[in-house]
Amino acid sequence: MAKAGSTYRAVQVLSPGKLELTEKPLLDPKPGHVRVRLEACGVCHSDSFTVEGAFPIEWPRVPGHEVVGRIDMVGAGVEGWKVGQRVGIGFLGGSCGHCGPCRDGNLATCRNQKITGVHHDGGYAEVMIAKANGLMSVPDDLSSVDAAPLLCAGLTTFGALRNAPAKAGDLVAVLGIGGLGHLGLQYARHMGFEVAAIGRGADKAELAGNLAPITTSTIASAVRPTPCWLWAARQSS
Amino acid sequence: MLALGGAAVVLVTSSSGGRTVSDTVKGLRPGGVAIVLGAGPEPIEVTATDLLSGGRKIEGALTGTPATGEATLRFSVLSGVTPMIETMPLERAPEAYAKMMTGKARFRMVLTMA
Repeated sequence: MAKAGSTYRAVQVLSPGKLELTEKPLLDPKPGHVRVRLEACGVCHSDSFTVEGAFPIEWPRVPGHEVVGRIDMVGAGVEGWKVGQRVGIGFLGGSCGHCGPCRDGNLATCRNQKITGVHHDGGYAEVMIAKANGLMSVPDDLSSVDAAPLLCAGLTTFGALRNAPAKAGDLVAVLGIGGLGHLGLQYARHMGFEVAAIGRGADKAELAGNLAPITTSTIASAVRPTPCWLWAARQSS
Repeated sequence: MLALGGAAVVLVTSSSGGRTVSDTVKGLRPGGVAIVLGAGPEPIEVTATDLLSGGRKIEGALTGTPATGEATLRFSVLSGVTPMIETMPLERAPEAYAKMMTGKARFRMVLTMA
């Protein structure tokens, strides 16, 4: 545990588009919060809300909401989490537990939810303070750098597919092969769907074929008038 | 996509403004849904006819609960799904951010704190 008066490094936004490396004072977590010594943080397009100022932001602010690290201090009243445990922190900073949606079990639509890296400092840093009920436990089999992007890009695509009205063998298409799409393709394949990828550029077409492990692929008709390819994957057996 | 029988689901992971989604809806099978995941400032354009015929739907989905996040991590371990990443040390965050914003990341930039 760090001694009083020490600092940690962070990259913060000072004004629109301006990121700078800085030192911040190490603080103890408030009740209901933990302090996490960070190991990895993914860079998401939604970080631009903070960096470009699309949301009302109080600067300076540290962006980053695909965060993995180990708890190094537990605040008062926190149960179920302990020092040394490896945890993930995502876009949603933690539900309040008392608003209408929370009491109806809809934690993701909590009215008092704070957004990591927008309303409070996020993961472009060596240390972060997080609300305990927003934490996710990270399995030992997953490295911190691999786990980080799964906490937003992974969760978003996995969650959407898991709740989607598609059954095994149905055709699922992924439009856009980027940070989210390259994970959506893999999840769709492993959930047992027939997978189609829609994007631009031959390099991504080949890559899509590698991500969804199938044996044949064809370039079929484009769905848009603009230069675009549709790559359809079918399992041969 | 229609040649394949139409999609039950289309995940729209790119910026979803303008005609992107309406073009996608045409490729849905009856009852199919386009799930919008990519944020963008532009309105989504779609004709009523494209929704009416076959009862096609458009919906949005925003990340998820901590429990779903943990399911994501466990399923990724079970299935061997991993992100394609490029790592950079924390102090190079401005460079990592710029690479992501210009669409040059393949596919996720990850900052590391040694």
